[in-house]
Amino acid sequence: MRWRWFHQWGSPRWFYERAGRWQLVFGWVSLGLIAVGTIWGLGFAPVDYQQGNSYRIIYLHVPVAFLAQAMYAAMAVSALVLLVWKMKIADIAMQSIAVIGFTFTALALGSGAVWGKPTWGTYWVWDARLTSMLILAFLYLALIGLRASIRDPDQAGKVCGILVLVGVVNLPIIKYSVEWWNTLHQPASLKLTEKPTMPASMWIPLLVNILGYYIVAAYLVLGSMRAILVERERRSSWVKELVDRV
Amino acid sequence: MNPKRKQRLFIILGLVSGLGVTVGLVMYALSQNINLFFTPTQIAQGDAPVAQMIRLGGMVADGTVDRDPQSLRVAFDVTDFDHNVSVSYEGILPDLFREGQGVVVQGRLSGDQFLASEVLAKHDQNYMPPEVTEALRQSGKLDQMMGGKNK
Amino acid sequence: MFEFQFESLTAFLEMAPHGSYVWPVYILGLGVLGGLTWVNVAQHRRGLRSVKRHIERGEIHES
Repeated sequence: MRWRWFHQWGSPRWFYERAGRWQLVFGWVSLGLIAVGTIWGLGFAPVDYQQGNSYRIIYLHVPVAFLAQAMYAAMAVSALVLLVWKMKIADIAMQSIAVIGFTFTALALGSGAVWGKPTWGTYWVWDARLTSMLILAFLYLALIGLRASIRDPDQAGKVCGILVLVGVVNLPIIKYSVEWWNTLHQPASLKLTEKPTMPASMWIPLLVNILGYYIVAAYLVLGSMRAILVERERRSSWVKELVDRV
Repeated sequence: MNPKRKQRLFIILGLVSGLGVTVGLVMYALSQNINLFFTPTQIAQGDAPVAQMIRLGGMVADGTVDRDPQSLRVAFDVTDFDHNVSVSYEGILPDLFREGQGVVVQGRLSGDQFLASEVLAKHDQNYMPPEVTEALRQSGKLDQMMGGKNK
Repeated sequence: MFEFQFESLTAFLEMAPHGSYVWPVYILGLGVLGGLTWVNVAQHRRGLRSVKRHIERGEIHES
C-alpha cells in the first residue's frame, strides 16, 4: 500500500505518539548542535577582514532567515495536503508553523537590522530583499489573525490554506531578490551549487547552526502540534485514555 | 489518489502557477522601481530624475576620496567602471566606507554633482580572516577573488 | 581552526567594537527559542489538565 504511511500520519493518535518520540530526539540533538555552532561561531571562527566581530551575527541571522522561508514552504505543503486530502493534521501543522514561522521571520528581520547598523550604516533600507522579508512576516501575521477571526476550524483551515498558497509567490521573490534587482543586501555566501565565499573555519560552524535550527524548528512545530491536537481532540476517546494513563 | 482529490490538486496547482505568472509579469513591469539604486551609467544616460531624491550605487573609485580636515565634509567618485559620478557629502560615514568599497548613496543630482544626504556601505558575500586577505594581497590574488570588481 | 580568537574572557564579552550589537542578538534569539519551548509545554499541560477536569466532572455526574 503506497499511501498507507501517509494516512497513518494523518491519524491524530498515531501522530501524537510518533511525534512525541521524534520530538524528544529533535530537542536534544538541536540543543547540542546549536550549542556547538554558536560557541564555535562566536569564539573560535576567525574575525572578518572588513566587518570585524559584527559579522558573528550571521551564526544566528542566516539560520533563522533560512528557516523563515523553509517553514513557509512546509506550511504550503501542509496547505496543499489539507485542501486536497482534507487531512486535519495538516491544518494543525499550518496553525503551528504560522506562529513559529512568524517568530523566526521577526528574529531574522531584527538580527539583520542590528547587523545592518554597524555594517551598512542603517538599521533599515527599503530594498527588495528586506521588503520581501517584511512581506513574509505580514503574511504569517495575516494567517494568525485570519485563524483567530474565524470560529469554525474547518472553515478557518480552508481560508488559511488558500492564503498560504497565494503567498508562495513571495518565496522565489525573496530568494532571487538579490540577483534580480539592485539591493543593499549582499548575495548568499552559502549555496548548494557553488563553493562558499568564506573559508571553512567560518562556514562549518554556520552549517552546524543551520542544521541545528532546522531541527529545533521541527522540534518546536511538533511540540506545538501536539499541544493543539490535545485541545482540538479533547472529546475523543484516545485523548481521554491518554489522560487516564498519566 | 482518487479522481476527486486529483482534480482538486490540479485546480490548486493551476491557480497557484497562474498567480505566479501574473505576479512575475507585474514585478517585471515594475522592476525599475524595485531597484534600490541607479548605477552611474544610468545617470550618465539621463535615466535618473534630476533634483529629486534618488539613490546611487557603485564602488568608491580608487584615489578619489577627498576629506576636508576641518569638517565632516567629504568628496568622492562613485564608479561602475564605465562612468563616474562625483559625490559630495557631509556627515558620518559607515565603518566600512573606503576606496574600492561598494556604497549606496542617497541624495539628489545637481548639475554633474550628486549631493548626498546619506551614505550606506554595501558589503559583498565574501568573508575572510584578515591574515588571508593580507596573504592574498601580497600574492596579487585579492582582485581575482573579488571577481575583478576591485580593480 | 579550533583556536580561541580572543585574548581573554573579558575581551570575548567585549567583542570590540561590536559587542553591543552581537550579544543582544544572541540573548534575544536564544531566549525566544527557549520561550517558544516553554509556551508549547505550558499549552500541552493546560490541554491535558482540562481534559482531566472534564472527565472527573463527567464521572461525578454519572454516579
